[in-house]
Amino acid sequence: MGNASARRRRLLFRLAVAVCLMVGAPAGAWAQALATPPSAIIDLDGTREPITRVSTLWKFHPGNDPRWAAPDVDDSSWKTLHPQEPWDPQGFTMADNQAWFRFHVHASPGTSALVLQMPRMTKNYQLFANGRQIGQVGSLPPGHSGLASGAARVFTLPIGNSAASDITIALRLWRPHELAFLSADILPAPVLAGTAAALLPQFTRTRAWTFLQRSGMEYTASLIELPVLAAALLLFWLTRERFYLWFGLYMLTDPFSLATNLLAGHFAWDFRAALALYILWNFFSAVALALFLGGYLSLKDQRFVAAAILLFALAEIGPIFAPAGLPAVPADVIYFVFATAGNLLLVWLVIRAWRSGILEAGLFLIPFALSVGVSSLTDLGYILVELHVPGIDRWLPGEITLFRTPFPMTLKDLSGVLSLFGFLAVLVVRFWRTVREEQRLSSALRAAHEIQGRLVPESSNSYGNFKTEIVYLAAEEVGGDFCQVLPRDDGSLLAVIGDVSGKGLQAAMIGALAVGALRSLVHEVCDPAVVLDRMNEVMLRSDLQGFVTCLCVVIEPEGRMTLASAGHPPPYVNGAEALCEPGLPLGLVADASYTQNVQALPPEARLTLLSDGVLEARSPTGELFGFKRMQGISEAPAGEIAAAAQRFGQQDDITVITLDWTAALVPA
Amino acid sequence: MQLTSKVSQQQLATATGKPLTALRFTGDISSTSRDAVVGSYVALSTSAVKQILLDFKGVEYLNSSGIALVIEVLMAANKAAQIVAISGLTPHFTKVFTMVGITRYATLYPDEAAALASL
Repeated sequence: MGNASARRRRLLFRLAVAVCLMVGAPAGAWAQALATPPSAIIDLDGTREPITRVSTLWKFHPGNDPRWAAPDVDDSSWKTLHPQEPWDPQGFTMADNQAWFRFHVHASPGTSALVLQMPRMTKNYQLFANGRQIGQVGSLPPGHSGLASGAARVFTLPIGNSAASDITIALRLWRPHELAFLSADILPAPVLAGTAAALLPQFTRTRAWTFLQRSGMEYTASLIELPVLAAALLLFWLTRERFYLWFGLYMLTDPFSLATNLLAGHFAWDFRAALALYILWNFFSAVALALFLGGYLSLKDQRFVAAAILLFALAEIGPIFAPAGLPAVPADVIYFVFATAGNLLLVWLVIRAWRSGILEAGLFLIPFALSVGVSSLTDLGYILVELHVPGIDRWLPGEITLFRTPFPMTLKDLSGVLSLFGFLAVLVVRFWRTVREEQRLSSALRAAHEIQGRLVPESSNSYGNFKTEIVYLAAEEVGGDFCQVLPRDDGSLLAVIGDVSGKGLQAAMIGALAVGALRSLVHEVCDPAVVLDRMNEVMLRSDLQGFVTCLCVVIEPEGRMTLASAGHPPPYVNGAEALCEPGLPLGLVADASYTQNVQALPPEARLTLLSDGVLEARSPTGELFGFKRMQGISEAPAGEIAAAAQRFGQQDDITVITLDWTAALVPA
Repeated sequence: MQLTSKVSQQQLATATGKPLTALRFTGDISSTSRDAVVGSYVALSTSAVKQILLDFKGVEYLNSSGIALVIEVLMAANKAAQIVAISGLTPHFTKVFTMVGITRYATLYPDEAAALASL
């Protein structure tokens, strides 16, 4: 099988046929130089050659009779034919799908270890020498039988050691009627006979040469693709981007094909099973390609990818139904039409992505389109050749072979290699961009964490008769919680807690803006409502998108608490929710006005301020932490409240401030 | 586990016979719900749709980012002089919606029937 070029889009039906037949062709060419005796009685000694082609003239009888294996059967009335030529020109058909062939070999005295080499065939057979079965490939009727594609084999012929030996060879061939289209020839390559010393080394060399011819391109492609596959899987592991995984699986095509070819060199494969495997693999690799492109191009609408996969699935109807009797040309046409449509759809998606600004798509557009174009024209050429279109061999011959040594490489192979390098270039560029983006995000995250650290002064502190505790528990992403506890010049304490909508650096920046505005106001000794108004103005003047909920509390030394809220949860005073007028979050509208509430604190009071991360904590069953639970623990230390919400199911940043106030003792 | 937010649209009539477009939300409403919340509102014609009901009866969870999206819709509707009613909120979220001042732009109703009867 070819390399990446042929990937997916070769005519699968042809592929399966090629798997079955390719061994025969080179072996046949090689055998032309061997001795070729003219009749059904072959004198091995007479040829004066160590290896003799014995598939010259054989006796032939259609049907099946096990007695025809016997050496003493009178086959003089049997017809004679050339087994390496097609049935039809010789006036025969293999109508009942079974036939026997007989020929005789004469070995000279003293010949030892005589062997017979059978070519690889898409027919099942039994081989007899002097009535004794010496080999079998596949299963034959009666009983379960399925067509096998067997490798070339060597069988030992029984001969005596002293006198000259006459050996009667009988070959029983069988194939299912519906698979008769696979081969017009009786034998795709010659049957050879010779001494073991001469034939076996030749057989080994021929097999190696055949492997190079059949799989050299595939082997070369696999050497490139396996490291690419490993790299793609590594990139998938590092980035969790699925298109790397799909690309890696797509890269498995040639190594898989190579492995099956290697196995096919040693085992007889059931033809239908081999065909099913190829159909499945062909479809799978087409799906991997479509999913890779869909993921890589970040297509929001996956319907086109689904449509391409559907077309690839429809293409397999041809190969699937060919063994069931669908003629070869319609099977090829079905495959060609749907597979080409699927490929062109993918090319169109790449072009569309490129035009929409995904520049990397342009990197593989040309090699990919070239590969699809060459592959489709090759398949079309096959069909036109099958239809005997006059002169088509010259203009569109199917495969165009660029060179033949050390192994054949076709134009289709070359376009596939170019396509592979195009994909590689794209993946390298994407990975480089991903790394750069991750570095940028990482820097942004570090910056956001640094800003966040300044927004929430996590500490315990005492200011006169105030004692504060601040606890901040960050969620996975950097959030926009902020809080400040600032003593003012008049002896009062300003406590502010807020939450910026959104996450990440943007939220941290807005939080920084809010804290900056707040700090600039601390010495003006404004009322909480005024603080919120001024912060709102600052937020609206900035270009940053987002809004802020904020609670602003001022506690005077004698215990008078004034508070105002911009959409923030109210505080708790000694376990009771403080009255707090609702207000719009900061940064939304210019005319937002904030109403403040005033409350006298008892002589000893614990004021608890919190971010909505406490209330929005959610259990695995979906239950909210909520106001009621919060009220239940609102007198606990800040650390306990934060930990309770975190245990319940943290969803967002959690910030809790407890502010313990004790009335100053008035001297008697 | 976060549930995907979904929205469905229905044309209703109030008790006084005025047309009203109901946007019914289900699942979780969070930062990932922009298409469902803002997108569904933007798809409405500001000239044809004058009354909108946002129904949160099927909503399991609504966090501050989700509330931000609701506020975005309310601000846009306010600019377009559309009347917005909200129904189906749990007591928790009724309190949260009140707290963030949403009642300045929309009226909260316990359920759809109450909203249709009052509009």
